Amino acid sequence: MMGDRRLQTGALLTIGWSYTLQGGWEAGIEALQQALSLSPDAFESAWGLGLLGYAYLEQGNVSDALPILAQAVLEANQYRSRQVQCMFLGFLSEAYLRQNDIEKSRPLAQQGLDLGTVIQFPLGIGAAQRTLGRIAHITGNLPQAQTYLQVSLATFDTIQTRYELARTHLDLASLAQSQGNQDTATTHLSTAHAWFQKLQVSKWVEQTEQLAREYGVTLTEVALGSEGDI
Amino acid sequence: VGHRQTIIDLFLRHKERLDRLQEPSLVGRHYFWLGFAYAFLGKREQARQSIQRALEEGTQGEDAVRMGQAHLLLAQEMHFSGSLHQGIVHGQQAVALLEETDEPFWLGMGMYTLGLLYNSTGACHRAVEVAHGCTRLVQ
Repeated sequence: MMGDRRLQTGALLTIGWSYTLQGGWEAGIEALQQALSLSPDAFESAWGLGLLGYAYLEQGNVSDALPILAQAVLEANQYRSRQVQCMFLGFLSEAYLRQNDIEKSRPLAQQGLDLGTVIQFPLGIGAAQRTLGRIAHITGNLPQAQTYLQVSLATFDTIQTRYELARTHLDLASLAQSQGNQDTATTHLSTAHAWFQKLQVSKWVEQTEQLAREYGVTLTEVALGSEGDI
Repeated sequence: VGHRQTIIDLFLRHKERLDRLQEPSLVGRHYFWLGFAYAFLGKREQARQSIQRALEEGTQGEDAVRMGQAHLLLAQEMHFSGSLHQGIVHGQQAVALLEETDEPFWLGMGMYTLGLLYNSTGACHRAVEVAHGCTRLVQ
């Protein structure tokens, strides 16, 4: 039955996305590919395609991520909500950024920010602000990077999406390191580390510890309090 | 196939006649789909009004399916607006209501929506749990 396939597809998409967020990219890609093979229609396929592109992107496989995300943006425009369109614009912008193609990355991030603002979609707004912050960082405009990353952090904090908040702390740590401010880098890394521990995403806990070693800083205890409860 | 504006146009053409009906189940169902279409077009205020109406009709008719569907859409709306924790509460209400019905498809959709919200907050382990629950429905 189509309903059964939709549920199976939905479950696999959820699992694949979850594994991807946790850093289990290969398992995530496998689940997402399986979801796409079961997908009953263009509606689910469009969502799955974007998540698969994101999984490749997170894995560091930009060459596979790019064409999939470009297609996902087109399909999202036809079949999915404007919120999903906003998310996928952000993913595609990130993919171009990883290729150091700022000329393509920046307008897509700005487009995502504009759309997110029009439809009042904070998840998309926060992601676009973070990408614009990363672009500013890479291009050497550190004050602008600081501004974008701080507003991104505030956006994610407002909506209590702890995972994205933690990822943004990693960007702010990297920026502080570029500015030669090790104390600030330590604070951001330690906060990210505490959130990743709370969320039980071990891959990102390890990644944060690795960054601390690279930066030559020692992680400190951060009390998250009850705000960390989900 | 993505023709959500067509759904809205069709529904609005018959709205006056529908509103005169004393059939909470039928009226609630139409408002549910109207809310669904508005939500996907990002027309948030219209979506909320329609979903609220679907919930009221469901409550009046003691229709757990309609109430569960309305909570499912409210959960989705909360996801879009960034009220993720409130969204989780609505998602849990949707699942609890639909578990008491003979509607495994909508129960699964409630779980799917709840998983989406868990992933967005970063509670990935919970998302996986709920997704496995969804898979068990079709086995």
